[in-house]
Amino acid sequence: MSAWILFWKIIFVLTLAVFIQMAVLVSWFGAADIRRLLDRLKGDDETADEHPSSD
Amino acid sequence: MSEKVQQAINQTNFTTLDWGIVVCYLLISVVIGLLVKKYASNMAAYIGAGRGVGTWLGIATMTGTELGLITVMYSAEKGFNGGFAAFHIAVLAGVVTFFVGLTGFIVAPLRAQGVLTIPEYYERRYGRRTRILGGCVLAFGGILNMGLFLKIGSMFIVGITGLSPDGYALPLVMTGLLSLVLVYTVLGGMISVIITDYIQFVVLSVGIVLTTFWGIQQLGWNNIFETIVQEKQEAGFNPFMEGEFGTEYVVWMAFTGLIGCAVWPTAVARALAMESTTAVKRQYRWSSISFTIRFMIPYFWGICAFVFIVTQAPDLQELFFVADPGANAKPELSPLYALPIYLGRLLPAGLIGIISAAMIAAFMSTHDSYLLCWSSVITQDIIAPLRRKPLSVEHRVLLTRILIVVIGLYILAWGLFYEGGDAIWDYMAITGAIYFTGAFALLAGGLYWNRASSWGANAALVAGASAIFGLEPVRVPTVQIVARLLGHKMENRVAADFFSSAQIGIASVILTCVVFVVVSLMFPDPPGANDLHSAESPQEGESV
Repeated sequence: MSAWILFWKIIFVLTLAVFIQMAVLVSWFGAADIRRLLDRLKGDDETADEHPSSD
Repeated sequence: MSEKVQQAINQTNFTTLDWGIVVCYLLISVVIGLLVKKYASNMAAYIGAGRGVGTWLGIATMTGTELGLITVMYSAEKGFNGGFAAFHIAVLAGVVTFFVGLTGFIVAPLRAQGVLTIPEYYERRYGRRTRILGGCVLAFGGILNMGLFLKIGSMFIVGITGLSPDGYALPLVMTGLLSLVLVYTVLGGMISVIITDYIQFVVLSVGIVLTTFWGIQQLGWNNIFETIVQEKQEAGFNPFMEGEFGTEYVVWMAFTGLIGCAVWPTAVARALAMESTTAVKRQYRWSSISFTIRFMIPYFWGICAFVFIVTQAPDLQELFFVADPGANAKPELSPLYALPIYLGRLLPAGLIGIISAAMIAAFMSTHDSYLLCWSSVITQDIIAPLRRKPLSVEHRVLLTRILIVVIGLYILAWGLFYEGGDAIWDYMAITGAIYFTGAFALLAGGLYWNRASSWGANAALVAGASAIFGLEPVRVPTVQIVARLLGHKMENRVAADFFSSAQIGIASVILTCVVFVVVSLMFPDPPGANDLHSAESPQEGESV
């Protein structure tokens, strides 16, 4: 049983540590992705306005 | 409900400040959802965010979707009952997600096809009839699967805020939360879903870390492990021991872990919205951490709730545990209430507001994605292919919005009336299996096996629905009827334990795969049928 206890302790601490790092990265770079996405969708709308569909 | 229960729930640290934090957060989410409404101008933008989601945003939205309040609640229930042994589910989920990220199993070739939904792929590979049948099975299993989300989420709010679980509080919370989600999902589609998912990811991450460290600090790291050793012995750590889990359960969890990331439509919808297959793989490799954490942290909270009740809250012990476990009696309070009551008592004012906002964030990010997913499947994969005249873009968006509201009303009604005895996670796994057993065979077979045929696909979809027998309200009467036919009388409890939902789930997967292979070999498609299906089905962009 002590092997299982040690195993879950290590897994838990490692996972939490990696998650904290990932959360920081995702929060930072995700904001840039949102800006890119909105710019792209805005660009799509403007293109559609300039070249309306034939149907 | 007894006075003791009411008193137990009322002892929360939730204050007016916390209500203020929650209300502010909800307003911000809805306003942002409304602000991005203008970008949802066509169907590709409405249900796929124009396929322009970058890796980091993809990870945030995948996490926001898959770490719902329902996930937190059912996982806490598992941790409360199973102790650290429940961690195996989290580890398996992370390992298989990382495997998908390395290999691109199913999701990369699916993204390369340029389809918007899984049934759209069915049409390209197997033909229109399979798309419609697959869409029906997917919508049925999926909507049934989310049937308890609203009720369980509302139980959390009721438990942590100290509202009365009796009377009108629960239905009112359910209606209020549902209305909020409906407003911004209906108006903004996938774009508002993705952006609010991002905000929810940030709030959730802060809430997760703060609550975890606060719990450890209050209960003591060593005390948490020692209490589980004392109360649950080895079964609290070793998942292979019979009891709460066991070998069959571990196998079933490995499979559901794979399905949860590679076949489950809401996760696949994120993959299909990514800008490239490389981005999809990277998204999955990173998301393997989220797929682990989304289970592991709530398990840990459930364990902390258990330790808190055992060591610091004697008044709760008689409500959550029965004196004589052999007497078949049920505790007065469901283990689902353990987490919100524990958080309500342990966390200080202010921090409860943040964690409640984070949990409501989790609630909303899951609901919006699921509502959008199932409604777009019904529009794109059932109604549109059945019509002879093509549906215009405006009509598709309108229909999807109407369906979002209809499904929302259904989950409100289902949450109020369904009375099943399965643990919530087991309910989720088995209702999901109605769809995913068939879908797994069709996707893996279609993408990696040339001899997969339309007949085999349709037969597998029907065979996959056999998973419904794992649901307790179906399983118990079925076992009793069979027993009666064999001349035995069986009590409800005995019938419920005769087969576990994991055993029925595994049997259903094996049956479906065998049916798929055998029928495909017996009734192969005529030569060139695949090219014909591809030519007849709408190509990328046309269906939208």
